[in-house]
Amino acid sequence: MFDWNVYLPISGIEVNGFALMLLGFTVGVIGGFFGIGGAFMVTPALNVFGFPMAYAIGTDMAHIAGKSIVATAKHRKFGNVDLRLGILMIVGTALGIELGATVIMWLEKIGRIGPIVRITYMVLLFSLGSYMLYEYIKHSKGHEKKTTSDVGKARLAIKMQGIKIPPMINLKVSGFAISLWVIIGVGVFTGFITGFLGVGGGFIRMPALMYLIGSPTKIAVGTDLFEVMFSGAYGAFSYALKAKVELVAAVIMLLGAAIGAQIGTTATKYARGMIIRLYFAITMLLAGVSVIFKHLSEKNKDIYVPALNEWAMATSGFTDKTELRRWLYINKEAVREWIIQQPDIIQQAFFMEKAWSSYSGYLMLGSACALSAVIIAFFVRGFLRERAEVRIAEIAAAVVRRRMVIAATCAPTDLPVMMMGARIAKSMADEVVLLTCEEKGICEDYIQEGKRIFEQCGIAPVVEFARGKPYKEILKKASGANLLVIGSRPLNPLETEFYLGDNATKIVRRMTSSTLVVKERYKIRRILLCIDIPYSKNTVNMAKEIASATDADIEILHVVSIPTMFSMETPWLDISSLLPDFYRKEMGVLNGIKDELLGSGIKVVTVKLREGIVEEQIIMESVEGDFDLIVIKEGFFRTPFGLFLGRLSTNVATHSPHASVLVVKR
Amino acid sequence: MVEQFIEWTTRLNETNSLAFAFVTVGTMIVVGVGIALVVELVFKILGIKTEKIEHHH
Repeated sequence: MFDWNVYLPISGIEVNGFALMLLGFTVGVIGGFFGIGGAFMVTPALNVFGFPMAYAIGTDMAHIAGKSIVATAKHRKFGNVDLRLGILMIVGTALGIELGATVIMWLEKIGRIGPIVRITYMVLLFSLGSYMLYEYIKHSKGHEKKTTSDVGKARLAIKMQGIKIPPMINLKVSGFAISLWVIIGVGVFTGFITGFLGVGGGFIRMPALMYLIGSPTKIAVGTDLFEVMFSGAYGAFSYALKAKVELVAAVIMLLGAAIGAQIGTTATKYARGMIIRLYFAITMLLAGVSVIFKHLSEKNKDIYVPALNEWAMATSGFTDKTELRRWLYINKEAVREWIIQQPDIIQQAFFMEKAWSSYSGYLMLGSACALSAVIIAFFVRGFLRERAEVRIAEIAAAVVRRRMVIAATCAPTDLPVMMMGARIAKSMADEVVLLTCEEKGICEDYIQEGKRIFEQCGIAPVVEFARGKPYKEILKKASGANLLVIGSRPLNPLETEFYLGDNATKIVRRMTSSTLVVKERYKIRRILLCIDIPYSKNTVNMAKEIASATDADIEILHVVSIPTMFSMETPWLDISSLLPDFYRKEMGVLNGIKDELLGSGIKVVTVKLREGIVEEQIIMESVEGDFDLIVIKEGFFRTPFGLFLGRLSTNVATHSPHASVLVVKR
Repeated sequence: MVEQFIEWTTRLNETNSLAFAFVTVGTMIVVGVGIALVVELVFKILGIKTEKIEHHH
């Protein structure tokens, strides 16, 4: 079995690498979705894994630096980052952190730092979480569920935006103007809390951007991550200077977090703003409960730590706090032995402190796993829905109006494309678009020639021009058409050897509608209809339509796939005549299609079975039978290797030497 | 190579903390961006759209 345990050379501990990666992944998903660094979840969890607290914070900061760059870049792509607002907030936040840290120093002097910070933290988490939950419930009752936009601006945000002290800053991305001083003020406020609590502050800034500034939820998420990117990098740098970053652990966490952040960020695209707020509220409340556990843990610590320190000082001879802490960490076993010899109250406090601290860590770890699972479900559901919507839109467009796009340069080399396109367009399309793509320039004479070819067939095409990379332009302009006709120049040996192929191959691979790749022949007299079992009715119908339009014969071919290693050459025995007896079921299906075609008025229909490598047999049959057109359904990848070797239909379209190939898509 | 890098950073942490701080931040950026590019490619192959979202102000 693979050993997942990783030795961390800086802190000198051993942890499970898989658990670290999983933790990074889950918090990455949550961070990308909510626009937070997630330190309040990671630090206690790392502590549970055995990290000393300082290393837990430093390592967490380092992984946040890497993860937030990924998430911010993605949010920027979605248009969720208000750069102007983010930069101004950073200025305010930096000032606020200094203020907060100064207050902390003063509290430390008077010895009240621990409880005050924890209580403030709890109050903040619970009040914010409850308010957001209340707001969600109020909104759900008052509005239709179908509402996709954010809720109206909070009252406080409207008041803030009403402050007209110049200079006014126009926030184009957020969609309003606001005074510079308001932004700086909110930045100072959130920065103060961040510095006071000693946390990353994403969970404060995100709601502040929504409720105090008035940004829509998704922009608040993206803009907050922009700030987290800077604070994370600064934190990582600062902790690394103090030698408190476990770089190996941070990289392992980042491996998971960078993937998770992409998923979380993309999930915001599929979630309503209010749903993001709801889950954020739940996260806040769970974090609040975790801080209560931590508080209980610290209370127990206060009972036994003075006695423990006294003993440690006497035993080790150290008086410095940091040195003492390190000595205690190294001599864990001696500490345990000392505890066992102590009165019950000390023993109980020691074990309860450890227990509450573990509960806090496990709660955060469990919450992170559950929340990320919910967000991933959003992502998967949204992605599947998006795909279905695109498909429905395409089908709807094709049903309303059959649009055929013929992509050709109108140069003499593309004459077969236009000739074949014009021949089948008359019966197969309501609207014909002649798309001319040229990287260098378009020749007017060729366009006139192209128009003339279509007019001879009684078609008036709509001429469209495209400049740029031909395959990209063709894919863009032909989106939604029910048939695309393109040319295919012969491949040079280099292109044949390498997988990338020519423009036609790239288009066939990426196009969602059916695509006809025209080779050197443009008259259709014989059609080779390749049938896979179970067969696609759409493929048969398209072959039928083309045969009717061009008065062509059809041969139905089914190739029984036999891998190379099993195919035997039998030159002394021709078994082709015996195949129909071996494959009676398949022959039944093929004869059924034959009857259907004959019934539709196609004059000559024959049926054939072959055995071997499918692409090879189809191309051999097309050459031997002198076919002009191969009609084939686009199938799934046959094996995982298909991802690299390409689809069967694409390979036939690429390698057919003379016959044109129609790849029928679903 | 990875082991040598780990050894080097561990030594750097003990000898030159400023250089270690720069290496830490740099490593995070490089690894983060590298993985992001791979994931982006996978998203593209899967057909997940990553264009701008319309915001309802």
